[in-house]
Amino acid sequence: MAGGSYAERQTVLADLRDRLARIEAGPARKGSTLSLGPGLDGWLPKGGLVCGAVHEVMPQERTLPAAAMGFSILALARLDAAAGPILWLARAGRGRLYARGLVGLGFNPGRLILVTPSSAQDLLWAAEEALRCRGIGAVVMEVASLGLTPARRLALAAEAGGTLGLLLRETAGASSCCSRWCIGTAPGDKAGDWAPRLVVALDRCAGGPPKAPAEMQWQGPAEGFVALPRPVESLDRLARVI
Amino acid sequence: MRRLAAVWLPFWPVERQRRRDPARFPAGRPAALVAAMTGGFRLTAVDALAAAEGLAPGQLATDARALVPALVMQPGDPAADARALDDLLHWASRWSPMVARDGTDGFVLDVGGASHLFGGEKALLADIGRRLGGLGLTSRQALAGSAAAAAALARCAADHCIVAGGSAAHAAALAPLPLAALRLEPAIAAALIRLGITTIGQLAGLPRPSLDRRFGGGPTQCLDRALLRAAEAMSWVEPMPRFRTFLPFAEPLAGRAGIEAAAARLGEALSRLLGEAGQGVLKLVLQLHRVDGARPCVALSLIRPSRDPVHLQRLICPRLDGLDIGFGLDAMALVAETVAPLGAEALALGAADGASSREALAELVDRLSNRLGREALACLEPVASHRPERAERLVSLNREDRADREDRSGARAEMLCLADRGPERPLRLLGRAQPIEVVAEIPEGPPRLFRWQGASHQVVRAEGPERLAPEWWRADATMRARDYYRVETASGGRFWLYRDGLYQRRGDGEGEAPPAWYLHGFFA
Repeated sequence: MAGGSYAERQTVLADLRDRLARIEAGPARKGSTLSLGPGLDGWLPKGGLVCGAVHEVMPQERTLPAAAMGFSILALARLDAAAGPILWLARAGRGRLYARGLVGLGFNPGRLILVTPSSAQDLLWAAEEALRCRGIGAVVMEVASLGLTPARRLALAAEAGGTLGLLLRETAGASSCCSRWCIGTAPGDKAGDWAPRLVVALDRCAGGPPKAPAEMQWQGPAEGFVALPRPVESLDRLARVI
Repeated sequence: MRRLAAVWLPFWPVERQRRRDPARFPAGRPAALVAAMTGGFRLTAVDALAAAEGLAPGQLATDARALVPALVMQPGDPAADARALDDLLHWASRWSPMVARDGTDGFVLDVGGASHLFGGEKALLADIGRRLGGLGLTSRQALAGSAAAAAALARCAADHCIVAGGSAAHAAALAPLPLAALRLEPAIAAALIRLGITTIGQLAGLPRPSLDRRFGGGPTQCLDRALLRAAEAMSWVEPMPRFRTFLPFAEPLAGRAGIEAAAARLGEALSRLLGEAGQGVLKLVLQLHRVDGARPCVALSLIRPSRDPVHLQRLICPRLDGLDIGFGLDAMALVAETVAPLGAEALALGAADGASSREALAELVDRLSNRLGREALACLEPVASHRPERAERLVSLNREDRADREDRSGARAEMLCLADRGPERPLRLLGRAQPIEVVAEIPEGPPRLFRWQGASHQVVRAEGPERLAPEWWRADATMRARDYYRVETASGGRFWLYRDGLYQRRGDGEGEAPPAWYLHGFFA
């Protein structure tokens, strides 16, 4: 082995990397990654959101959770329908998803199963059960805050079931998630259409560097997120506009 | 051949009240229940001691008091008696699942094929008598080939009378009984007695055509049913379950582990039964027979038919928490109330991945809905209404009727088509629109600035209005016309606002509240 040529060593290394990745990812049943579109796939080491892991999505502004929710819905609109329905674990008394609005974003509301547990404890139990289930495509959890132990349990459950988990949380905290996204809203063109336009930041990502906020335009479920040419230097500038 | 056991509780109303509240009925004193009737208070029920003193229902309370000065009289409660009898019928399902009410003071059990479980018919009747005695209830039992014969024998023949054989044997057994045992209509019975017909044997000896001509079909029908010459219709308290497993215990069972193990055994037996019939269960009831006679139930519903004993066990176990089992259980039964065909291929190992993941999903939905409640799981369903908060609703996933589910997916497809053409709707709708303060350039125009939750938002661009008129065809049409605007603020937040009510010309709509602004939803 030591005397092998450069090309041979590269083959062996590639093979080892592949095997390690398979061990880490566990059995990939539902497709191993979820592509988000050309604008965001380059940010992620695997070229998409890793299935079989939990990802956090946080709103930039606490009072405007719709952007983070919209980002999750748009990402899930790109999930293959054959993977199974999407379980949405909602917190009670916080408004509800509106099917006609979902259709407008290119998401089929028929794929959603809405679950409203009465307590945070029940929500975590249901999330763990659902993440372990092979018949579920993705699980979205709305939580106010989450300790490290529950987060770790959810991650293990997602790994066991090969299910994509999205954690919608209001505030940052201890986390053992695969990636954490911070989503804000961006003003659209005055004359332009109303297609969703988001400021997306990747705060942390396992196996890759974090990314600064950038404006992303949604181009429909087929294409996904496309980066806008105008980069955002800082969110402070936006804050001054307000 | 049918075998029916009739149980008569001659002193049921008094003994029920005594069991409930012993302090009101001192021991050793005859007791009776009274109610206000024509001519004053009359006895409605008596106990064994009072009956031995010669008292009977229908007697005037004052006469009874004069005859038996020690008599304890309490008000009767027929409605509570009937309710308690219903509970007793459920409890009696320990002997046979087919239990029917018989009058206001007895019940009938179909014990064909069940009596050997209790050591034969004689032992079964003895067991019924002993257990009812344990509850403080006097009872008389009889067993015959028809409910009418058994009931007549229980009321009027020697205790524990068992009649086997066909019509002739029944005729012989019933012949000496008084006519009252047949429970004919009171007017007909009185007329027959006036004619000197006092026993069932005498009635059976009359020529049928003249009996029919004089009294209508009633007496001959009663007689035919009692003597197995005509079929009798029974109304069982619970429809006879096709799939039921039952497990009696030698000793009362109180431990959680024991109950779980028993539930597992019942589940396996039920799964075998269902497997033989090619069925899967959709609704499952676990009945727990407590030693004190109560029978709590655990009802479970499944979204897809299943007969996997492991899955059934996983559904049952969490529901045993917080169940009151009193001093223990002496029997448990597992009943498949609703079943649906389930082919063998659906259970085969190594099935296609799609099938097994559907199975996994159905099991997950069952587990979630059984712990969180049926209402907690829902999907969105469109409603024919243009009022946004009414245009769709949450429907429970667990609907038994499958045809309805098919309809719904059709309705969803229709909704998709509609939304493709219709105006944009928000991603998230607030359950109750929140009032906001708005500054607009012109009253009828879009807002320039609005205040919500203490922060002011400057509107950069707006789209609208989309005017939604009230649905005048609804009786509760309190809604005013609304003008909806989709607005974007300087920071990029997108909101759905509406103005409730229109600005009126002077003179129109006087007295109406001025228009108000609300926030109704958020766009992505």
